[in-house]
Amino acid sequence: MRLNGKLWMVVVSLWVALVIPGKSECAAPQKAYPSGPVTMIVSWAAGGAADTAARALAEATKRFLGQPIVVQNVAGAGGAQGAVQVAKAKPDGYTIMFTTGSMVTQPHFEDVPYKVLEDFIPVIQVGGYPTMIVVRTDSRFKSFKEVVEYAKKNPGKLNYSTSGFGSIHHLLAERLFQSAGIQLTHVPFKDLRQGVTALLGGHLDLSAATPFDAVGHLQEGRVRALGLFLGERYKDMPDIPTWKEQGYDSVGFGWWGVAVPQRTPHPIVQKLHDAFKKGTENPPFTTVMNNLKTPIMYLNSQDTLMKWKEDYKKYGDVAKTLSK
Amino acid sequence: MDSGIGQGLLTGFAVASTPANLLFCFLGVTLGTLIGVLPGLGPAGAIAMLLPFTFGMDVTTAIIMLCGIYYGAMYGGSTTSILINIPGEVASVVTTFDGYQMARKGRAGPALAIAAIGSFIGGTFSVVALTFVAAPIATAALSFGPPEYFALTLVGVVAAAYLSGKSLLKGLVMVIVGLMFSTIGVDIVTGGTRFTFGRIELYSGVEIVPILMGIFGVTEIMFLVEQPFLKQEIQTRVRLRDLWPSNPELRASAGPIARGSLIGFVIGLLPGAGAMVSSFLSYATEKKLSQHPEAFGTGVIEGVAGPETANNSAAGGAMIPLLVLGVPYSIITAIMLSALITHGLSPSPMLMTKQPEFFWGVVASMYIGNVLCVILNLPLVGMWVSILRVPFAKLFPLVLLCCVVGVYTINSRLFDLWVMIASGGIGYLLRKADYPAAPLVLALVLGPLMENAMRQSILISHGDPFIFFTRPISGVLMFVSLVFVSLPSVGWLAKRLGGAWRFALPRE
Repeated sequence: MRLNGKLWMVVVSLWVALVIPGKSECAAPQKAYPSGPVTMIVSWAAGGAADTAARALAEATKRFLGQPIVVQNVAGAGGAQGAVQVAKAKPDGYTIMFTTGSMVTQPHFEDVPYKVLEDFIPVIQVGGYPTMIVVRTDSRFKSFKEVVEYAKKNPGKLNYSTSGFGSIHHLLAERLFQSAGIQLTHVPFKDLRQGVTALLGGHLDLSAATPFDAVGHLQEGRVRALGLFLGERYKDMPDIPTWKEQGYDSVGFGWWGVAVPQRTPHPIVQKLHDAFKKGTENPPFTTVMNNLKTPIMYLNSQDTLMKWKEDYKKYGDVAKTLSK
Repeated sequence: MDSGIGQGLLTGFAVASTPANLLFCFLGVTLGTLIGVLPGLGPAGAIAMLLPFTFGMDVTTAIIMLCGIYYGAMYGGSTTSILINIPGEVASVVTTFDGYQMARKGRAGPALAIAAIGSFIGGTFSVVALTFVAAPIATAALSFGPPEYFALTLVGVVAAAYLSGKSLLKGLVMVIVGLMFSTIGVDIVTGGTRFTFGRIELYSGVEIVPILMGIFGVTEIMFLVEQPFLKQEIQTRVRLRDLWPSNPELRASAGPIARGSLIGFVIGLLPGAGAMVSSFLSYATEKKLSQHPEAFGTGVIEGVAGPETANNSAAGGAMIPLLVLGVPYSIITAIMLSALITHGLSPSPMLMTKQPEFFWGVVASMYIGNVLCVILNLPLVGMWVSILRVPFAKLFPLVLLCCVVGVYTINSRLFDLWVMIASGGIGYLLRKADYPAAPLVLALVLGPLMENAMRQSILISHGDPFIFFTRPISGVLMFVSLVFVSLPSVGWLAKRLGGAWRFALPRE
């Protein structure tokens, strides 16, 4: 029966062999960049929307970069864990980051050990999820105007859910309500989907949602979208009016993109940008984004930085109006 | 309706039994079993890691494989619980209570076999239920809002305190400690950080797997180091006859398996840590119904049969809200929903009629997968049992290695390893002082859900705490937790009043 001991060993070593390679770091030799695999850090757990998009992007881009892009999940601290790891990484282009909009909202509420505008160079913006406000189809509110009328008479009586205090959805919604001059009770959930589920069960009045959380419910007519936080209508859901059209002011979206640590040489940034740009135009990224019902919104390196600065200030202003 | 289901199942089996789908179903359950067996690596992580590999696959095949991993892991999870007192994943924590005690008595084989049989029956029961009652039940599950959610988690933690260990007081202390630790991290209601001491590793709360591996794995190893010669004798006598449950054992397991199937299915449907809560509730039920409740925890087969059935049945139950409404109530089903959406499918009540090949193909594959699992697991019982023959001096360093690698894989950070080691030390002291670890783990898992649900309820009710009692489902659940807390005194009363009746019953 000695064999079984060996078998156990084999099982364990097989497992180790399967798990370890994904984690190994790659030394950067003095050859033309990139001469080895590039590690892209995703600050969120595997299996979510950001992770799925990042993996599809990595898959689509690797042939244009000429090297594999290994996605590594460094989840935790609402995205700060991964951001810190990249901020501290060697600026050699072998450690890059899949960025999400939380980078410009989180620092206004939590003491995060990175400075978004100083520690990173944005490479590209690839897309972002459009947030909307939804109600149940059988809700008495047919439009946002009716919500405003009711809420003006009953301040704080209506409630709405987002994915947590200080989340981009919370800030966008608060800005909307402020511009409409109304006050609603905020009921935070761990993610948008849980809020949408509670909405479906009749436990909430309104909920913030992205197509990723609500597309099935929208198509089946279980929920109705009252408005969209994008600057213009979204081609895949042309019936949903923007807030701007309805006369309110709240535009913004949680963007996705790629960034590298500060002091990464310009040629490397350029090379990454060109490869990722081609990646955004090819499957599986295009197909996955289409299935996630998330628009591809390309911005180059400079424009992405402008957007970061603009958003950082915008959400900072909203944050100041919220009492802790 | 009935002919529709028959027709659907026929279509489904035709889809599921194509060579590619059969192969991936087999791959899924094999991988799942392996992941369940290896401590530290859970099905959620494995499914998430494999998701990108399914980009190029047919969606039905992809989901068949991912489902296979999910329920396969529920089969495998019991193995290490029984053999070495280290649960493969959270849903198998309860199995350590009696499973490991059975192994120490040389009954590891029957424990593993009954776990596999129970898993098969529970898994199949929930698939049958999924086949026939999916749509109406899923809508009913939606009526569970935050107040019901809170009441359900409360039942879970109170039941855990009541059933593990000898003293309710010590159990409750552990629940409270667990709930206190679960408040570490960012508060979603106000956005403030609590008890993080400036460590960003703690912003999103304590990670559960390092603590599970520490408090069960490391602690167990420390105990074995303490008494190296005492334990070694248990593995020597393993005859073929001892691998299979005896007839009395089989008879004793029938009831727990039947009840476990039902409990698991119902709890699996609902939000919360379905598989884990259902295993605790099944154990509590069996202990309550048993003629010899005092024997629970010393190696009775009912304590393995019930919970192991329930956690598999819960895995099937959890598929209903996912497939029918696109509502995931657990981390794993949330990842599966991502997989569905990534492949361009949106689950809904229309899925059955609009995409019958997919829906029924996946359902039929679950019938096949459960058969594959039991075929795979029963012959493995002999192999697993003989693992105990590996000298502990060689086996346990390997187990420790598994724990270390598994824990590091989750977030790739050393901090989690320190947490594991520290919880190992704490677990050692707790066990020395006879404080049960299971309620602590359950409270840690349920704590954040419970707190969020409570605060959401209070926000919804505009500060009225009676929301928990005035809503019918939530009110009933609150009453159930009250019953659990008062059970010991009820038992004491019953003993006083019904002593004569008890005495008349034959012992054992």
